[in-house]
Amino acid sequence: MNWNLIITLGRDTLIVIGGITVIFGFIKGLSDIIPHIGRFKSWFWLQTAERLKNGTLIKNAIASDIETHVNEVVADLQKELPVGWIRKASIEWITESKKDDLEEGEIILRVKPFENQDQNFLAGIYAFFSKALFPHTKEIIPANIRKAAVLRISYRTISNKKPYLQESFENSFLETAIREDSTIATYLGRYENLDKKGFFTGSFLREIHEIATKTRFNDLRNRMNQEVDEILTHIEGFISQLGTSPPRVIPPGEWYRVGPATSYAFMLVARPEHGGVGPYVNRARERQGQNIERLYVMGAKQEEPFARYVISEIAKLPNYKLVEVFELNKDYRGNTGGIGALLVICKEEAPEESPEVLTSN
Amino acid sequence: MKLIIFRIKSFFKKLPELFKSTKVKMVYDSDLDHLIESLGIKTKVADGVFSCRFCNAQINHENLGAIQKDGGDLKFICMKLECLSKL
Repeated sequence: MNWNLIITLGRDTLIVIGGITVIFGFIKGLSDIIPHIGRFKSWFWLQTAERLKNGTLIKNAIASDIETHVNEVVADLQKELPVGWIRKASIEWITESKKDDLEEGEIILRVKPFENQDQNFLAGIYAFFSKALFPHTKEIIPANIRKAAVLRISYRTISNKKPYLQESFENSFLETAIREDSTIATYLGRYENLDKKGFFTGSFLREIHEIATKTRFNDLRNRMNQEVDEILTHIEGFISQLGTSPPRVIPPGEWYRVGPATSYAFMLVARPEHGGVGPYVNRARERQGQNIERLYVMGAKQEEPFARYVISEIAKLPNYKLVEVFELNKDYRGNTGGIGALLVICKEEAPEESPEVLTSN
Repeated sequence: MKLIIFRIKSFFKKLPELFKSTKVKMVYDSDLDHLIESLGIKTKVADGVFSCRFCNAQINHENLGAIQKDGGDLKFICMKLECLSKL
């Protein structure tokens, strides 16, 4: 027996297996960070599954296809929503389970073969957003408000990524939800209105989450519906005055809202030629004296670098803390893109009494 | 400069999030038998004991769309998108 040949063959085989593992590991790792690369993974599984007609490969192909489409959307939404709100989706195939293994409320969704992939996708994306949106505050936010938000995000996703499924989604998910609870139709319309100017994910969802977090253990929790309605009405009133012809001056009192749980103000940034960054910083200073806790800076897509500059200058103010900078689906003019930032205004602390004052008394 | 530092910090804060995921549990068509057997409900499904929690349609092997644990019990939802959308 030629041991040298066997050893060489064995070594070469291991090198090939090792090489393939490294390449696929690299692609997998890369697709975790850049979801669009997942399309390659998805394509690979599809091709292999079609050729080999193997059950496991078909399952992988279906899972990979759903994951890729959902995660492409997730990657976009992650830039719009606060850190940790939306994580990428991963499908866990269940082949056996005991009743006690399932957590309360947990769902196992049945997936049909590829011929039903559209239905698989619709059900998958909705199940994902129902689970992912409003982490930790699901139980506090009223069901109709939350459900309408999940439907709005899912609907936007499907319209952008799979437009041919839009009608199917409307006829099944939207229609059923509205039939069950007519208030959902009202919320959907209002959310869409906000979404057209970037205020749905930009400020509204963040405010709901903040209220839900703050009112968890107090009486205001029972009045969440009313509070959310008032915020919606305020933002609707505010955006209705944007982009009018002739341009309308928004009254000073409509730029902010001081509510029982949260208080916020808006700042729209677009025109560097109107005195540069100074007027914006001065306006931010004025907000400190108005009992406002949160400032949303919304920058127009066309003036994004200037908006970033304004945000960084406001963040330098002593009582301002930059919480997050986020991307917008639409800017306040209705153009695709734009940048937003949330800054928290810390209350000015009363100066400590100096020893001289104490001694003089 | 402050914004650049903030963005670098945000990037490192977001980095672990890139590797975390929200798990969605699914059962593939061909594994359904095995799953309902392991849950001890195979004969009940075959006998049509369960009904859809939303439309009350009798649940069988063909139209079972989802299983949900609710109030400690297993609930069943049929394949209709209208019912799946109520989850």
